[in-house]
Amino acid sequence: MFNLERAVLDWRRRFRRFASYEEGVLAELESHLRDEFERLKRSGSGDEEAFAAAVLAVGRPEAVGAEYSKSAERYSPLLIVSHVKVALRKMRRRKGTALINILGLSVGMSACLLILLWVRDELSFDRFHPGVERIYRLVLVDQRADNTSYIREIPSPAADALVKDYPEIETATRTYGARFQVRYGDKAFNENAVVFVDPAYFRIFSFPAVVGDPAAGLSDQSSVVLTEETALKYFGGEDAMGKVLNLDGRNDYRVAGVVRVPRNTDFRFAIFLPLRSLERWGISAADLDSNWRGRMYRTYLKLDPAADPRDLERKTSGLLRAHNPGRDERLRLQPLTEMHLYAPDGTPAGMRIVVVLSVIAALILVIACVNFMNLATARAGSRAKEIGLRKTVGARRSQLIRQILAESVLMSFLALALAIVLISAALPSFGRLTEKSLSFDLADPVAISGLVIVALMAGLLAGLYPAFVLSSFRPASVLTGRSVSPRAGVRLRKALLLFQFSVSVLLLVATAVILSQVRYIQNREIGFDRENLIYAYMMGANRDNVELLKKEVEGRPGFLGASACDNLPTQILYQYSADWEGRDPATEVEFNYTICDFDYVKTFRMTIVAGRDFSRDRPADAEAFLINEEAARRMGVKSPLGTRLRFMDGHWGEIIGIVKDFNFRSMGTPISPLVLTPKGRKRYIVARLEPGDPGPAVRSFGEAWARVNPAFVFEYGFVDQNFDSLYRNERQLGKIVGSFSLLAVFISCLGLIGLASFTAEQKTKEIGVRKVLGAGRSEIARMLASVFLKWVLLANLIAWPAAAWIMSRWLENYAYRTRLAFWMFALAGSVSIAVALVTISVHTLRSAWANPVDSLRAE
Amino acid sequence: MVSRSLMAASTKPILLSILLDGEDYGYNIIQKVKELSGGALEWADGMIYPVFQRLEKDGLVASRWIASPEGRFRKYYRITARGRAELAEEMAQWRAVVAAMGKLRKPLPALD
Repeated sequence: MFNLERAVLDWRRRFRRFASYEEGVLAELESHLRDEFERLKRSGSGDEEAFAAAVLAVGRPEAVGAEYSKSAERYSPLLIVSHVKVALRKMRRRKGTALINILGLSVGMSACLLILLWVRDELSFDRFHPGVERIYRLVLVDQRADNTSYIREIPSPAADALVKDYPEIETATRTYGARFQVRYGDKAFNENAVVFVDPAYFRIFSFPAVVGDPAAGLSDQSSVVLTEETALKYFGGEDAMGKVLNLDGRNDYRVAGVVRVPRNTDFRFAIFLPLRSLERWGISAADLDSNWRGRMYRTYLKLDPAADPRDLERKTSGLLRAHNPGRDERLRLQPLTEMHLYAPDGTPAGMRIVVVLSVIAALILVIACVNFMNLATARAGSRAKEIGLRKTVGARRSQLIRQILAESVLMSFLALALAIVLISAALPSFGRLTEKSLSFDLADPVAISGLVIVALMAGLLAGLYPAFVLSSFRPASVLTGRSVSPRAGVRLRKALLLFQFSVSVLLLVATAVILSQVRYIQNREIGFDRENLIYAYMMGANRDNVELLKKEVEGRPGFLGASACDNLPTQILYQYSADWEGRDPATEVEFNYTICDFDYVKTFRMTIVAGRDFSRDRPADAEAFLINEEAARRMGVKSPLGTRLRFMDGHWGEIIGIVKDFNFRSMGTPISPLVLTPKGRKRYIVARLEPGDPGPAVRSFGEAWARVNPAFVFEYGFVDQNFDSLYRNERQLGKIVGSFSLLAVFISCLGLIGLASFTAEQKTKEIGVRKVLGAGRSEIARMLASVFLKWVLLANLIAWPAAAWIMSRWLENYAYRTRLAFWMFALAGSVSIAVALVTISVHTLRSAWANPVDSLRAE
Repeated sequence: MVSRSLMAASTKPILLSILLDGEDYGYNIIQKVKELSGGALEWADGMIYPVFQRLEKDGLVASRWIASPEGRFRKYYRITARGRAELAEEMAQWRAVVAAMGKLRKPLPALD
């Protein structure tokens, strides 16, 4: 019996098999079919005959379907919606894969974006000054036969001389850093970030005035300019203008302006004083105007728009030589835009880190994309039929590519959404890691377009390869049941896995090397015992009490000794020239110096390698000097001991001893010649504590302070912490690279989970057969694990030489450096293997334990 | 018989012209085409629906579902203002082609 409704249903099914149609299309065709059927019936045909003819009249489903897909080919926005729908459906069906993909991508993206935030911040330093490309820092280049040093502090008169003689220099400012105790009413503050500047400072750098006119204000010797924060700290909400501050109990300054200083500048000062007012602090006008030998003032220039800085460097090359004959000194103009990321000699110190981290960011993103590619191609087999069918009904290759790309881009935008959440959550700890307060503002158009670009790139990068592989399937072979070999792209997948793990291992080795270098320089014998040394800085009038305080402290329990000195070892910066008996006139040596009392060597536990220490029993020692080994080598006299030396154009004194070289700067720089002299003001008191809990001694130190200087705030520090802060950059780099290399390993392992579960699935039957034939669990597990371990091992072999090469070049930046050791590579290797093993084993064990009956029945 | 490419080119103006007479549904329209051409235009009936879909997407026709007295739903198409403009344009082109053909030095060979 002919059943019209059943026949129509069959016919519809045949249509649907070849393509999917928009809403209503089939209903319309069906209505046509019925009309034709009724017409034929009316003209006398039988049911079956009429239906067959009507079906024929409507047309073959392939032909009509193809016609429809042609009309759909013009890409309409509606199609994106359909792509997205299909993609979402796919993700629901494969929740595990989708989760791995999204999680991996979003972790990769957040890591990448965090680093980009950091990079953006680093690159933004001091870019906000108008005409920033015309601002330069003067660097003194001191050319010697054996080495060239680049010094930020230059002689004071240079600035004025340059402005006077070279019309292309618009203006110049000197700066001189200082610290004071600032008193307002009954409140006292210790201020470390005080700077003396010329009035032009505020014309060169644009720190917008909140009130007052800072540049005009600084022309008056008794005026002071504060930052907003400082003003708030001193006066609360009150108007700052005209308020009088007392510095060190000696000089008063009247507030003439308040400026706003943004976060991303290297000029983070709190208080600005007129440079000329240094005369009120005992620096003579002559010293300021005509001392060409001291190197104390950082100097900045702003050039005319038409000026050529290289030309100016050439023209000024004789300036310092004219004033200091016999020395080979010239000035280098370092662009302000390079100041943050480049050392004074132009080496890209910070820039190197920016580049390294940007590369790491890109690598992590690529690793995350690789996961997506691997999983997508691995799953190709299961999508082969769908793709074959789509092609048969006329889907063009370009349409398939678009569909697959739409899936990966959708995935990547979902990952982006998650990444934004992750970033907001991780920002505080990332801020602690980098010691920066970074902010992430979604309303920022640059950030938004950056995010969209990263997501789009990740989506396209991840989807492109699968799109081309999948869309290349030949429908004839996939639809006749010959399933696409799961081996399609196997080699590429292995290569990508290899890439992921090579990069991860490389980063792990880098972390190990960086951290061990940090440990090396922190623990290296530096020539004295920096542990258990506490110090306090004597402010202003208080300075006169330094001897008193020293005596007060020395007798207390817990204290092993104390010394007064002018600089902590980490603060020995300034250089001066010296003269000595028997000096070859061609030999010029710039000495660093520190002023110290007779107990300095004892307190710091330095070693005297020749001669003797200062002694209280010999009053003449007050005029004597100690020098370090490097100074002795440089002076070029047979026996420096007993030689008379004149330092800083001061008195002649005898060299009574030679101190073993000790590091007073970062390990990046070699030890320079040093003079220790007891003559001069001493601002620090350093005390050696008994080892153990410093708590009671700190309290006792505070009590002693309060007895001697009740009017001053007690602030203290530890010398070893000061040393640690010298290696802040290295420690940070180690921590950042370390955390991100762990992330890279994590993301790689996510990919491994996906591939391992896929392989285990693929091999279900093989495992079943092997077990039936008597293979044990351990054998099965070993078989599955070895598939991947082989590649992880190979990744190690590739990464090691690369890491060795890169890291040995990095270590060359340090004058004192650790050596590459096998353990660094072995550690990275074992971490990668162990993590990979744990990852795989979860899946392998499940397959290994599975009952073979189940796995074989699955067919 | 008309060649495939010529048929493809003429479908649009033919369908739009038929709709000038008023709203109509696919099956009826096909019957009219067959009548008009005396069978010279042989289409698989189903092929006009994708064409309508395209015309609708391009905004040349609009459609709605209307129930027949016996309760069957049919999709009725009508020509839009844009469709009329497009049709005028196309017809002008066709007329130009036909005029050119008529002016050929040798008349077109007659079919027997």
